[in-house]
Amino acid sequence: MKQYDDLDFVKYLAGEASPQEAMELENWIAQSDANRQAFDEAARTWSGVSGRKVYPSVSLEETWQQITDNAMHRKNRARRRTIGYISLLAAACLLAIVTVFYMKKDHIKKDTIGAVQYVTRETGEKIVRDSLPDGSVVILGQAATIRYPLHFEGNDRPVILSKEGWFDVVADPAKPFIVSIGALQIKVIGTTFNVLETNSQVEVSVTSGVVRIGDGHDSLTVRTGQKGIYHAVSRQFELQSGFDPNTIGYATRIFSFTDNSLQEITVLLAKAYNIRFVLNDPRLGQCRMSSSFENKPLDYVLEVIAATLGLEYQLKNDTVYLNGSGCN
Amino acid sequence: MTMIKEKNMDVVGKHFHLHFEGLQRYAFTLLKNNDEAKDAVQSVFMRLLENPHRLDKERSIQAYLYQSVYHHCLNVLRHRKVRDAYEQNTVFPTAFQEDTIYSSEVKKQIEEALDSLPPQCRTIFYKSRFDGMKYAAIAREMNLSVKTVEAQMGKALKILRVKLKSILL
Repeated sequence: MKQYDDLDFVKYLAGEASPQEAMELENWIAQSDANRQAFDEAARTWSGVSGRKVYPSVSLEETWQQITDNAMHRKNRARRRTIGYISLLAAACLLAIVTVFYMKKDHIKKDTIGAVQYVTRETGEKIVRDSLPDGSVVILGQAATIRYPLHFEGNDRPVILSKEGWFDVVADPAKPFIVSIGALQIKVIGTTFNVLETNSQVEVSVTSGVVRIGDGHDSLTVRTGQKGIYHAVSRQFELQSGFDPNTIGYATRIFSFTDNSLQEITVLLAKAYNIRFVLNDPRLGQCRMSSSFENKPLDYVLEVIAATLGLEYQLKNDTVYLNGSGCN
Repeated sequence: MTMIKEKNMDVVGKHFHLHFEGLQRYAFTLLKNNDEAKDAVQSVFMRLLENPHRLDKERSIQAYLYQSVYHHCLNVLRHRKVRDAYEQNTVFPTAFQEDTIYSSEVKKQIEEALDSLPPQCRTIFYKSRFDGMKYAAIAREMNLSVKTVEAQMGKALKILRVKLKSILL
């Protein structure tokens, strides 16, 4: 077989390869780890010279699911053509109304692949709480998506996540609970943990129990209070001994503020309680305070903040008005 | 009827899992945009699901997939050209899903490595990498053969790869 070198790699990376050449080079890459490493080094150089790192999007399962979903929808659409014109029009109107309604909130849809029914849920700006078929709870962050079968029938409990979610998993040693996010799989028995996906990495913060994260090549065990980080570019795992509980406060409503500004505090509370803050004076945002809250009602939290900083508060239609002349 | 369709789904699924990574990368080299590359590969597999008779053909499915991705990408590039003609601020697509993560120290080393390339080699590399020019266009503009451009590009990458090996991890 042909021996490849920098000339072939750069020709491919620059977008000059014919389909035949691309296929042959890809087959060569897949042939051995040494070949893959040689190509990866060239690819890193090609992208690195722009001063940037590339994040390869390798969410294989998710992409395949989208393809089968789309194929399904096309089939349904073809079937619908046989329905009478008027009912079609009525259905279209209803669909439009429902769509507008759901665009503002979150979006749920169901589909069937083979004999298995799936639920897909997408969030908008609001945090959404959902129960899974086994009674486990997930709290989805902003612009997140989750997909799972209507019933967990196999040997495990698979869910697919993107962006951010906090899980409280019901223990079932016989059926591991598996979260797939990009190339990463998170395997747990029964525990609570948070998953956050960014452009270049996935962070798994464990609030109780033990989880195992892996990408098929390597894996890492993350325990209570620890944070496991998966760097998608280098496919490397990193273990941190702690994490800031406020970052998952949107789901747990557990906050520990230490000399935080009101600005920072209102951003976190707005997410956790699905509310908006209006300050009568922007300078109030610079006021600082310390306090901790463990899943307290909103009124209680606002009361404490108002008392600590000497402010007045008013809660109207999911909007909190904070009024004050300065900080204590 | 549905049995056959499910079987097709399985067969196509197998090809998808085998070839997705390579096809996605190929599409990315042509389009320099992750989302568009993903769309290209998706729509090729969608078409394969809808026309399963392709699966019976003698010709290799893998070759068919690479051909289809290539043609899909050419179409995207053609549309992009038309669209750009109507938009004033045409920007070379740097919407790779990239993060500017490198520190200024690393960036300085990258610049030094680029500066160390021999003059003609550097000019050619810049035209391809940063102006997005095709090899053929560079060859025409500089009055060189395409083979020379290819060789100079290979040389440039080799020098940069060796110089930057320890910092681009």
